[in-house]
Amino acid sequence: MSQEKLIKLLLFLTILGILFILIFAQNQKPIAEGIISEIKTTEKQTRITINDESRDIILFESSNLDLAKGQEIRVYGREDTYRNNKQIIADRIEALK
Amino acid sequence: MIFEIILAILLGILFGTFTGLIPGIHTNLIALIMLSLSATVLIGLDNLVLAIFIVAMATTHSFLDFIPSIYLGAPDEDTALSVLPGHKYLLGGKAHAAVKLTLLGSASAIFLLTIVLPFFFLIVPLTIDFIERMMAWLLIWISIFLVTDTKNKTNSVLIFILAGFLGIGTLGLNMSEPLLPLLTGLFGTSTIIYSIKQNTVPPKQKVGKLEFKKKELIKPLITTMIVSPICSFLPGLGSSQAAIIGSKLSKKISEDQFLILLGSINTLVISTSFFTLYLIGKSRTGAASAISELITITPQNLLFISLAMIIAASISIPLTIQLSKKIAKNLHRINYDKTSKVILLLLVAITFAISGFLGIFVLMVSTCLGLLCTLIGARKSLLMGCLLIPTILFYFPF
Repeated sequence: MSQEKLIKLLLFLTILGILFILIFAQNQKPIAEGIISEIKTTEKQTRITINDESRDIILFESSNLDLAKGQEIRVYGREDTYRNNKQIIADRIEALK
Repeated sequence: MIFEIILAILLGILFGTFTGLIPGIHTNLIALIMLSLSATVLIGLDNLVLAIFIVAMATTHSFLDFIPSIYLGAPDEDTALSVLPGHKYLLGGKAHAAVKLTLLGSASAIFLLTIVLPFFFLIVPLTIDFIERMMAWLLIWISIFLVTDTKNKTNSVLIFILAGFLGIGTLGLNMSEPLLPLLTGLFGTSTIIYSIKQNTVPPKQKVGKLEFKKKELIKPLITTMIVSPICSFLPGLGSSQAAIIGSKLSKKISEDQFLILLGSINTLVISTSFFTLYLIGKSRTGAASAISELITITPQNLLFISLAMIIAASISIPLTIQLSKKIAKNLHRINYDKTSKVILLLLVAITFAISGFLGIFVLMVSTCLGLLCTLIGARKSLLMGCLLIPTILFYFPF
C-alpha cells in the first residue's frame, strides 16, 4: 500500500473510531443509581453517598449543582481506586425526582 | 521498616531499568499495576514503601528511557523529541555518545533540583491561586505555541484536534484506567509498529570518551531551570512540551545541547512533580498521581522521597552507561523485530487485563492516530492534545 493511501486509511479509521468513542461515551449505562444519604461540597469537589452503594461518588465540576439529601439520582462515570478505597468519578449526575 | 525501604528502592531501580529499556512500557503502567495490587495482593504492606518503590522506579526510568529512544527509535511520550537527533547519532555510529549527553542532562538535573527547590517552595504557594484562575488561558497559549511552532501547521492542527476529541471521548467512558490505552496507543504501540516497518540497519557503534566543552552545559541547564518547574505544575504538559518551549526560549542550541536539555528536563519534571504534590496537592505525572493515591505527602515522607530519588539517581548513572555500552557493542545481535512483536502482545494483554474490551478499542484508535501523526511528519508531542484539550475545557471559566 502506498504511503498516501495508508495515511488516508489511518485518517478514516481514526475519525470513525473517535466518533464511536464519543457516541459510546454519551450513551453509556449509568454506573450507580439511588437516594442521596449524604452530600459534602468543598471548593474543589462534591462527595456524595447514596443508599445501597458502598462506593463514594466524586464530582469535580461541582458548580451549579442542585442536589440535596433524600433526592434520587442516576450517576454516569467510571470506577476508580483512591487510597485502597473504591470510588466513582462522576462525569454527570441526573436528578430523577 | 528501613530494610523494607532499601528493598523498595532496589526493586524500584530494577523495575525502572525494565520500564526504561522496554519501549512502550511506561512507569505509569507499573505504578497502576502496583496501585491495583496494593488493594489486593500487597495489602498489609506499608503504603510509604510502595510510594518509595514508585519514586525509585520513575527516577531510574527518566535516566534509562533514552536508550530505546536513541538505539531503536522507539520513544515514550517523554523522550519523543530525542528520536530525530538520536537517530542521526545512531546512523553516525555515535548512539552511546547521545545517551551520555542525555545522561549528563539528567545527572545535572538532580543538582539543579537543589537550586530550584527553594524558589519553588517560595513562589508556588504565592502564585498558585492566580495560576489556577488563569490555567485555561495559559494552557490555550501553550497549545497555540505548540501547534504554530511547526512547519506544517494544517497537519499539526489536525493531529492536535483529533487527539483532543479522542481524549474527551476516552475520559468520558465507563472504563478502568482510561489513560492506559490512550497513552499506550498514541506513544507506545504506534511507535513500535512504525519501527518494525522501518527495518533500519545501524552501523557499528563507537563507545569512546564524550567530547564536550563544559561551558556548553550552561545554556541548556539555565533553560531547564526556568521551564521545568513551570511545566511540572501545569496539567497536561510533559517533558516533550517543556523541551519545545525550552529550545524556543534558548534560541540557537546545538544538537549536543538539545540532547542535554531533553535529559535534564525529563528528570527535573519528574522530580519536581513530587514537590508539586506536597505544595499544592496536585499530581502532574503518573508517578506523582499514583503516590497521591497511596500516601499523604508530609515533610517526613518528602524526605524519604528525596533520599529515594538521590539513591536511585546515583545508581542509575553508572548503570545507564554500562547498559548503553553493552547495547552499542551488541546492537547487531538484537533481533529488534521479534522483541518488538513480543512487547506489542504484552501491551495488548496488559490493556485488556486492566481496561477490558473498551480499552482494546481505544488502544486501536489511538494507535491509528499515533501512526497517522508519524506518517504525516507531525510532532509526536502534539498528541498531548488528548490531555491538554480536556484540561482546558475543565478549567475554562464559562
